[in-house]
Amino acid sequence: MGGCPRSGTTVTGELVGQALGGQVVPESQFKNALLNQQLWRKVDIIPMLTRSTPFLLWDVGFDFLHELPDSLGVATLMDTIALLKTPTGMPIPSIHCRSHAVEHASRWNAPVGLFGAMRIHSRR
Amino acid sequence: MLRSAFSGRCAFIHVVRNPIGVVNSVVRSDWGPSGYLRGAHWWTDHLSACLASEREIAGDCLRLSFESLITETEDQLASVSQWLDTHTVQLGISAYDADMLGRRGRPYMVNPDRAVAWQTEMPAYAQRALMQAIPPALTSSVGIPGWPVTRATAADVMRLIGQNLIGATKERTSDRLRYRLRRRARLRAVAVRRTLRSPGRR
Repeated sequence: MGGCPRSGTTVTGELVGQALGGQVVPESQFKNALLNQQLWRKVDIIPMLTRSTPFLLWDVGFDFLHELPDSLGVATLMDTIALLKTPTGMPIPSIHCRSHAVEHASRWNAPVGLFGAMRIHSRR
Repeated sequence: MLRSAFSGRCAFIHVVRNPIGVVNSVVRSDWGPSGYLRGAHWWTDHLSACLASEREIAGDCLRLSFESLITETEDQLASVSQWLDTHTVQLGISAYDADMLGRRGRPYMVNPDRAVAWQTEMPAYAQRALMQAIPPALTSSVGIPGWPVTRATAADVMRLIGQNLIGATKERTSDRLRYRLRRRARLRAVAVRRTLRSPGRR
């Protein structure tokens, strides 16, 4: 789910999630940096993620990063994170996570979202 | 880039909102452009980038109007649901089992007044200027209805220049303030550290 910032991506996520019963993951601008800087090697990705505030919102820790293959794409990384956040018994594409946006961090555990979709802002 | 990054097994929803509403919202936040005209350019750049991405993922992308979503919520959610149901099957993603999660039909709250809140929250001179500054071709390309353009007057232009100057000053002031606060916090941390190292001194 994406769009220009302040376009209602958060409220859309919440509505779609609440009405359709899905989950939306927190903001994931870190993948924009991965895509823009063409970071595919684990040694480049780990330092970038450890500095990323949106990544901290995912609350998945850093240990799993060391177990990733040396070279990986964004999709692999996002799938891995998604699996870490998928509670037992949930369908695989679902990501059970907390809030959607930084400004809504107080609404942890809001059941918002959409089958593993990610919020993609056009921030470059 | 999106297509290659997500291996083609992803459905996208592009949310589009009236640019004047976007600018009205972003100038009030503590990040992003602070002037109305800067906001208009910022939105234009972002939407152009979004449209370029949308072309890349054509076929897997649903464009959704924010205004329609919050004024005709039920209808829009029904169409999103239908699109997702058919599209996920086409993409080879297992059908979404909402019943398993047991959350379908949760009550949601939405304020339809937000669709046109900019009309009362934004000064009239800024609205007139934005209507002129935002390219109508761009708004019509994403299905945002056009508006009657009233030529901005000389007074409007002067007020906009003033507002931009205030915005720029505000940005500089907040940068300076942030720097001072960080410096003060750093000095305080050093003082605390010194006190902790030699508790007997004080």
